[in-house]
Formats: sequence, structure tokens, C-alpha cells
Amino acid sequence: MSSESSRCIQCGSCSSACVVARITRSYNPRRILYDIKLGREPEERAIWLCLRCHTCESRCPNSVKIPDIIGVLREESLEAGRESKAVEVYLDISETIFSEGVTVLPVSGEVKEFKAESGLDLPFLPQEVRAELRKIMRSVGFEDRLKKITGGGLGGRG
Amino acid sequence: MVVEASGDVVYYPGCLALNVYPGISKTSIELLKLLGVKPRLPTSVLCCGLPIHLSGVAKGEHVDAMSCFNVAKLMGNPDYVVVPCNGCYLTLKKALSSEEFKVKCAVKSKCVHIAELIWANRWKLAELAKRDLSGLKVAIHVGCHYTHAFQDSIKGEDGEDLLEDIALAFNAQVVDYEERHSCCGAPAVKWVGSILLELSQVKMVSVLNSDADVLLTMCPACMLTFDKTQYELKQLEEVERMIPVLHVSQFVALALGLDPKKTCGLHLHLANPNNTSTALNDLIGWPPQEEL
Repeated sequence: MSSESSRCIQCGSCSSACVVARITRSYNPRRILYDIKLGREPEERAIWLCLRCHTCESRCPNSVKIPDIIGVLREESLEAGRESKAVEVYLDISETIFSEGVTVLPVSGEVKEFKAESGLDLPFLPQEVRAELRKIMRSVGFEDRLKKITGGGLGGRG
Repeated sequence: MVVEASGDVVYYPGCLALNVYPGISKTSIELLKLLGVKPRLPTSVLCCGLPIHLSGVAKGEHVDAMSCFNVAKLMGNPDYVVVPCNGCYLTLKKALSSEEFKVKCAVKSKCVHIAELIWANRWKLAELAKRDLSGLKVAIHVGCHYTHAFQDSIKGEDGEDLLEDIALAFNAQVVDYEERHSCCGAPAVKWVGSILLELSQVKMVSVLNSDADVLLTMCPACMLTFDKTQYELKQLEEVERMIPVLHVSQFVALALGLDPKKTCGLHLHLANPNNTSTALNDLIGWPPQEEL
């Protein structure tokens, strides 16, 4: 992360292109990179305001991967237990993904009907496939990570 | 840039083009068939993982494991994976562009966006057009996770974007608007809701002020944000009208004369020809004959 941020020349192209920075002064990508350069922790709330839309990266003269830097800051914040409220929805989404396969189930009876008539009525993850997926996710440390964030793994959140 | 999908092709719908806007998937599959591709579907659909990755819950290696499971196990390692969603494209293309990932996962697949295939074949498809779109005013939103996330994304003939090229190939009139290149707000962490809402509202109001009849997109997540935002603004009486938000596959399918309800699934959108009144209604013959 520090080698990526060291390529920043503090020109402010990122902040001038950022749609969130236009709406709130609480978010300023140039300032986040400045803090990292000085070895300071960026303000906690700011890292959750980024859209990770890559507009800043596309405008940056050095193509600094700011969305990836924000991603690492979020991961570190969750690991350190500084923040978990921000991602409550996404912990629920994780549960849905690893039980049903998808983030959202058919939103209406009409959608179900349309899918059935269109040959799009794909089965949810069968039990044995789900078990295999969970085993793989455990092997790459995802369950341990969820435990760190929430105190429980998949299906174990109170 | 050569864009193709040949050999063994899987159409991967992702979550939203399956369970919110299935008309996107039906029209995408129809268009692939017209282009001589007979796509398979995955045995089951597993989310690409982008929402949990963007939020920081899942790290890169976790999403790579999901991509590997998706492509190797659920899709059976095809030659090409065709997606209708910028988010799925971002995740799967990133994984499948990495030689290290391909070796580790033992897959050969390449990822293509359906919009890229339509763009590459737009003149061929335009020859099959059954409806004249020359009276239709189209606002365009390509979406950040396509435009900005890859340096090799298609920019369009005039350097504007691939959706403009497609709309023009079908004789539609492209209208500009101030916020054309702004993010829709969909990737915002839901915790910061009020900021997300303002951002999406600014964008949507700019679209509506452009006098467009439809908003053309290539990502179901952007579509959902636009659909919800204008619906909420209309409920609050902060805007006077809504306009249908179309995925590029639905747009082209409509131009080719396919059924707006049975094939395109327009009735499943929040802003649809039943509660909007634009040039699109006359053009596609809405309401459908059987409902008159």
C-alpha cells in the first residue's frame, strides 16, 4: 500500500474528479494519500465514504490505484475491530451468498414466473455443492476472517 | 480490439440480471443466438463476490476463490464467459486476465461483456432491425466499473463510449446531460445512506432534465439504482416524470422487434411503460395487444 501511495504527487486530480468529494467535505482522496505518506492513520469515517468507482484512478496522472488502497484500509479496519457497523449489510449478504448462492432472491412472483417461462429458473446451490464451496472458503481463510470481524463464521453470527 | 465469444460459451447472469431484471438475461441470450452463439448456463449461480469485496469483508484471495469455483465448477471451464453486468465483469475479467489465477485454478476461460459483443456486431444487428428508433431520445450511462476500472475498455469510435455507438447504429438520438460521466452511487457502502441518496438523485435529475425518453445502461446494478432513485423522487413529488431504464440487450432486442413484455420483461422494472409516458410506448406498441 505504501509503495502504491508513494507514487502520488498530491496534484488533487483525484479529489476534483470525485463525486463524493463534491457532496461532502468529509471525503477527500488526496488527503487520505497525504496521511498515508506521512505515516498517519487516515480518518476512519472517510475510508467508508469512497465508492471505489475508479474515477480517481482514471484521472490520476500516475494511475495510482486509490480504490485498492481504500480496500486495504477497510480490510485493516475490520481486522483491527475498529469498525463493523459499516459492513453489517454485507455480512448479511455473505450469509445469503453462501447459503443461496446469490445476493438477492427473486423480488416478486412475476419475476419467478418470467424466469420459469424463460428457462432461467436455475437451481440454488445444491447441498453438496454448498458444502464444497464452504470448505474452499474455509481453506482460503474466509471463515477465520468473518470470525475476526463478527465473532462467528458463516452461519455462526449471533 | 478484437471482441468475440466462440467455441464453448457460458452466459453468466449474476444476481440482478437473474432475480431482479431477468429480461436482461433473456434478451442477452436471444442476441447471442442471433450472433450464432449457443450459450450454456451455469449449473447454479454463485454471486461474483464484488459486493462483499468492495465493502472490505472479503479480500482479493477470497473473491478469487469464488471466481475459481464459479468458472471451474459451476460453468465447467468454458472458452468464454459472457456477462451482462459491469460488476461481474470487473471481478471475472480481473481474475481471468491473470495468468497466475488461470494456472492455479486450471481454467482457460476469457470474460466478455455482452455490450462489447453487441458493439462489435452492431452493424450486423442493425441490419435486422424491425423498429425505427429514429424518434427515440436516449441518455447514456456506461458505468464506472467498465469505463474506469480497465484501461483497455472500449471507448467507442469517436472516443465517447460504446453505448453511444450502439444507439447511433440503431438511429436513436443520443442526448447529452451534465452528469453523464458521474457514478450512479450503487457501490456506496450502505451505511452512508444519506450521501448515497443525494449522489444518485443529482445524477437522476440530470438525466430527467435532458428530455431523454429512456436511459441506456449496461449494468443491472446501475439500473437498479436509477430505477429506485427516480421512483422514490416521484413518490416524494420531487420530479414530474420517470423514464424506463434499459439494459443495452433490452434496447437492441426492442429494436429487433422482440416482445417488450414476454422477451424483454419491461413490466418488471420499477419505471416501466405502464407508469411512464415517453416516445418508447408508441414505438414498441405498449400496452401489449393482449392487454387492451
